[in-house]
Amino acid sequence: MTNNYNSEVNAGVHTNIGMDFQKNCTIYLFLEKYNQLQNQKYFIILEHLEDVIFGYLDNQTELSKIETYQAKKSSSKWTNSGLLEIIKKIAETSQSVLDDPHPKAVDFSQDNYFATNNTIELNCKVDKQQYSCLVNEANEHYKYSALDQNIKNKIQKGSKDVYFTSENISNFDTLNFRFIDLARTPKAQLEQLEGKFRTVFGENIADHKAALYSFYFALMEIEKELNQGNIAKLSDNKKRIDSNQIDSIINILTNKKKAFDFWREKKDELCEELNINLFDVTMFELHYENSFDKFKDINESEHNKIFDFVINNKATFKAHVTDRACIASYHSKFNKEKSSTLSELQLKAVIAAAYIEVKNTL
Amino acid sequence: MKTTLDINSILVYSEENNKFFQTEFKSKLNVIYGKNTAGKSTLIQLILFAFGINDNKIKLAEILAEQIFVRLDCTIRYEQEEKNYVFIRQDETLLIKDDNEKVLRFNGISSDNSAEHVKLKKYLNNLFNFSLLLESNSGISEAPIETIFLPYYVSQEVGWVYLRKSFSNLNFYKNFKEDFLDYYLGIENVIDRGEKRKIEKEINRLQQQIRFYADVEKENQDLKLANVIDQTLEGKANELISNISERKNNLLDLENTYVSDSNKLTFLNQRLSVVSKVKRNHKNQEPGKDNCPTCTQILPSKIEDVYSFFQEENDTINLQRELKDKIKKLQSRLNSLNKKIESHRADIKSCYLTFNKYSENGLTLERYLDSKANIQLFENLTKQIGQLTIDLEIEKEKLKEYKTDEEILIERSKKSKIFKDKYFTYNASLGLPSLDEERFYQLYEISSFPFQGVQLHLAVLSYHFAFNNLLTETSDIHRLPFILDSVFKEDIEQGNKNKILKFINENFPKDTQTILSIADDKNVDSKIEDYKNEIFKDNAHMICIGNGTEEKALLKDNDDSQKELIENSFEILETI
Repeated sequence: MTNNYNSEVNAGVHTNIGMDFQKNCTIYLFLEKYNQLQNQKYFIILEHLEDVIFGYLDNQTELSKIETYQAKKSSSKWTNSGLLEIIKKIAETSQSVLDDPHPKAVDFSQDNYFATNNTIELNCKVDKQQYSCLVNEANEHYKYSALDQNIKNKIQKGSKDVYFTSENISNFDTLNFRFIDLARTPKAQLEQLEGKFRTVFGENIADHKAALYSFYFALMEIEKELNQGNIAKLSDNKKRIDSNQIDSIINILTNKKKAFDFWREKKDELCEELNINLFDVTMFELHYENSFDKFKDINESEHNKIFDFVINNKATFKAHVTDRACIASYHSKFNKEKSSTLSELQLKAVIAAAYIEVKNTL
Repeated sequence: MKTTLDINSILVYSEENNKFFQTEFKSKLNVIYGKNTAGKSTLIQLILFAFGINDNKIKLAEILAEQIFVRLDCTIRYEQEEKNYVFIRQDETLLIKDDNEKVLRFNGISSDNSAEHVKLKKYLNNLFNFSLLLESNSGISEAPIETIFLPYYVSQEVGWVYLRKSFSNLNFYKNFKEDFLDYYLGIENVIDRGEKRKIEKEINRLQQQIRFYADVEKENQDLKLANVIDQTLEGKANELISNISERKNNLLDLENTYVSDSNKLTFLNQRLSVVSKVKRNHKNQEPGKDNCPTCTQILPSKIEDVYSFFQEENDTINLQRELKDKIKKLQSRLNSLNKKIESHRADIKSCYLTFNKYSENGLTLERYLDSKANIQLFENLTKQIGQLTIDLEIEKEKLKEYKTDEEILIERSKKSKIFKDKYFTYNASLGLPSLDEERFYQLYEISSFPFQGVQLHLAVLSYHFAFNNLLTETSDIHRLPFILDSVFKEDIEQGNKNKILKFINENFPKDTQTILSIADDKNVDSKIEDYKNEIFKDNAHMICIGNGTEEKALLKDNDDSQKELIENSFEILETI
């Protein structure tokens, strides 16, 4: 069970969450595409060839489409000069994809994006005439091929630092500019992504923030795995996350619901069911509600011992029809087989809480 | 129906020196033999030690220093069923494994006054259906564990001279001898006597009260005056009183709300403290990063665990926020309630002042209230005397259900008669001279024997066998193995030794085990084979300590023959 990671490499879930714009972008794009991705075979590659790659497979495992994203955050807007070097890199990526030996479908196509969270402003002046193109909140996506010819010309010319080969230029047709609507600070980005999780998954996920964090964590784990080799080829499926891997993560997120509020609310029903008298009710409530919190803390050994007891004796669930009978049976079984330093009332409350939690996460 | 204990086997193990002793006990006779100081008495005392008895700990000091544990495998027979128990005692801790494999742990029982020892006592009392209560300066309480074993155990030295002295420290109970004998013989016990005394006291109290009320009625002149005052001031008084009482009701409502809100606040604070603590600890239990607090390995980082971790964390954070919010609101509500209460109190106080000052014709309302009380008192007196008389009759009726002192004496003398017959028969078969004086044969009077030397020894033997036999006639009394430590005194010659063993063989109790120890040196005129073959025949299970030649030889080197049992004992000792 226990993976003995080197704790320096794996510096924890909290430490880096949300700090990485590329990954935030990946999640943003993933959530945006989720409805379409659901019914498709695809894979994601992080930080190889390009910051983010979405690959779409047809049924024969041939590549039908590739989307690559070079993701850069910025605090100021992008202009022609700042973009030339990036465009050259993207063009090279485009060529690498073409050269990659991964089997491709007949109608294979690719889109190569520059993605950023600030405005992209492309312009040129020809004969005192100003031509410009803005990619921002109002206009999130612009294809290179749709640019004004004058602007295209200006880009193709390059600069004294950046020179485009003819091969580069032949790949410009797949170039795209993309505005990603993510805020400046990591904290605000996380909040936005949490909201996006909520929009996409709604009530299928109990805790969207926890789901986002876990998804982020899963990406970090996979990235660590990917980083262990050298140059990644698209076909090397050790270096990519496949759709079924992601499906299983989503499955966990949608199926594992910890409904703390729901469980806590059960106490009134239970008091009645378990014949807790009025005198003891408040104490019972206190112990019952505290139990859910104490189960979370590994240091609370007595509570965890009782929780494990309920887990390890799941057969009891099958033997009874009512909650009351089942809890009573757990209680007497515990007293027969184990001993506890807790008082009877405390024990009853802890067993009831463990029972409710286990029953509702089965 | 009787509860009977059988000890099936004993294991003594010293992990430190890797030494052990193990033997089984059979039904009928179990004869422990070996050289003087081989460890026969030690074995017997270890049995008592394993039941939580601390009285003989000093004598066991030497073997306890070897860091041993003692394990007894026992069967307790009840009317309908048999149950198996394992008792393991190691130093201050006693573990009991019951029929359901449940292990009970009593920690820190080496002082008889410790809470754990009291818990153990209650457990054993329940196990053996034992309910003797004894009276001391601090009142009536449950008798010590030693008294469960006392009738069935004759200790090495003192046990063969005095009665009921096999354990020390039982002297300070009041009427110990009577209570002890009454309990074991099924005659009225202390509970009954306590109950009876209570009823007698109650009757006394009722009679005094009736007399008191009768006197008041006759002598009090104020009662006559009260009626006059009542008519003068009634109207105004009622108005003021109803005013005050309404305000008081309001105040009471406020105070009740205040108390219930205070309790809610405490509840929330207690919740908050748990949640805060969990939050702090939880932070350090991050999957993939932090160590497990018990096994020091990094906690697993599967996606399920990570998701759970974040869900738990979010829940804790939300809960903490909610609780803090509620506490804040409740606190401010309490503060405003408190203000209201203060102002109500001031209000009522000023009403009182008005009330006390108001007067008509020199009669104040204060005086009016006094006289009101007197009128009430007069009505009550008559009622009270009636009720008290009825109560008195009920108590007198109850008292009739208890045995009178004469009845108890009759029962005692019945039992004494049975005892005397048995005692005399046994004395005769042991060749003891007949006894004429009552104080030497009346069960409730015997405290010493008019003999010395061998004859004293034989008389004690005879007494215990007669008493054990008498106990079989008490229904509902527990029966334990009859344990006789050292049935030979040092200077008993062979003829008497044979006589003692023959007597034991003929008269040992048939419903329990008998465990006895005798000294026998293999190298010096050993008779153990003769005893076994000629006296005990098939009745005895022989247990040898230290090859019959060694001293202080109870424990021997571990030959792994009891490996499984020792392993199993450690499992029990390590039960959480």
